[in-house]
Amino acid sequence: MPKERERSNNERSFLFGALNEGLRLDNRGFDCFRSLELRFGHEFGFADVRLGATRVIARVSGELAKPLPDHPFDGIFTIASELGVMGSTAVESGRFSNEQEVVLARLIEKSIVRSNAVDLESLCIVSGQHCWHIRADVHFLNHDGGLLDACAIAVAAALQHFRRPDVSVQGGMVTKYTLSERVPVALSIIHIPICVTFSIFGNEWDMTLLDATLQEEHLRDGEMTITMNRYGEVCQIAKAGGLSIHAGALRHCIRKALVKVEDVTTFLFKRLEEDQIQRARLDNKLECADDYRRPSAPTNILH
Amino acid sequence: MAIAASLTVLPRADGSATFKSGLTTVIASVNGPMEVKSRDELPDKTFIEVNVRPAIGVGGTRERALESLIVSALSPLILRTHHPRTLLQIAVQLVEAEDHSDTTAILPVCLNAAMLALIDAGTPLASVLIATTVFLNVDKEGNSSSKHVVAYAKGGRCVFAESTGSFDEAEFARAVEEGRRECALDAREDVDMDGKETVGMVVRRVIEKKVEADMRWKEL
Repeated sequence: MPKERERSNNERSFLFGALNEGLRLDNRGFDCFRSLELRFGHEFGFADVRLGATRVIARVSGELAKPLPDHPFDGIFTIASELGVMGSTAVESGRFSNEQEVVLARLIEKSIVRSNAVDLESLCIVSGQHCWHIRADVHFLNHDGGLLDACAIAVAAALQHFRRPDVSVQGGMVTKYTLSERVPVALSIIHIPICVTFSIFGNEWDMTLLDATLQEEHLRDGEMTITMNRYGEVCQIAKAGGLSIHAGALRHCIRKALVKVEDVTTFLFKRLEEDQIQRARLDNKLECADDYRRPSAPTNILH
Repeated sequence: MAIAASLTVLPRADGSATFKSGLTTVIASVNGPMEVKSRDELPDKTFIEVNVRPAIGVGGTRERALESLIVSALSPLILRTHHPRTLLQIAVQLVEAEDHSDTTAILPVCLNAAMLALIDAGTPLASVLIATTVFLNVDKEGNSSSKHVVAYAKGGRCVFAESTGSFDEAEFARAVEEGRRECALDAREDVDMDGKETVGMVVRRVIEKKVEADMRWKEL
């Protein structure tokens, strides 16, 4: 498994020289995100995010499960985000092969799962017996830096897009309806955490860049990820080692992050609305067709 | 059944392709020949590793089965002796599917995507493989008595067949013949497709476009 190639001294000095002159190698501003594209699939809960050349897809799915014994009134929400051989050849499949992957998975979990983005109580069906296990699978297709940022956007988009099957409880029996029998239900999402990663370069004066490309990631001296929502609530700040940053600069970064998070959240809602309109149009077209038969699928009954 | 394919979708992989058939979409990437782990090293051949990742979940027995089927279909067509003691890593990611548990529908899409990715990567190949699924005796509700995943190489030779359901020898021969028609590379052969494009024609068109783009410099 080849390791990522080390960056040459020429690359390092060129990048630093450019930064000193206020230039970034792809001519972006220091505080600019790369172009963000968001696409949804025909299935509910599928989001395809492109942040520059970085490409991440997230898929949210749900199945019935038993609640955890110490949380009988809550459902379960998990995120699986392994790097995989497609995203980067320096990775082995099946297990975490380096520290970067572990950190990525933990930060995603901290940012989204442990910040209570999804209302777990609403996922409970019969306390102590049946609940929904909502699962988000993240697949990294191309790694060009900013994996954490792209991943957070993808998961947020997929969660908003997802519709779970409707259920009803009668006595002790739970009936799960298929997607065509009853209108599927959206998840109850409390807030939308978005991650913003700052790359710290130490020169004569320290400078921070937003949304680093892979090259900038390899050459940076330190990094910091701030996760917050559009209401200005900071969910988590991760700065593990690397070049130190002044406390005043930290507050400045948080303010910059808020602007970005608001932009991204507005963009997310706009794309969701566009997808909604497209779906409604498609549904109307299908229902008006001559050969449309309302499907009568069997229901799923559990005790 | 709308079929679409595109090459070079992932910038960092040596070769990559997307293959879409109806509602099923698969992305494949190929990396190699590259450094191999010493335990996998073969003294005279390339070691081929296939990784299939499902859309939902981390993958279990079904994905391992898909991996072994893909290896058995593609290994004979790759000129492995050209790069001994190296690794060829093929990664297949299922993006969307009509029915995630239906291997018969997903397998040909994976095979086609992997083959296109191999071509995109410039891997030495003996032949191009085109795969499709043939449904026999389809009734009004869309159920069929047997499903056959068949793949064809140069000259319309059937090199891979994986069948489920109940059928007899004559039906199997019929399925193979039907598949050959569906995978034909062009309409000039002794096939009769009522105007619509076969899987083979789509693949051929996509590769021709790429070669044309790559050979632009020759016109200068």
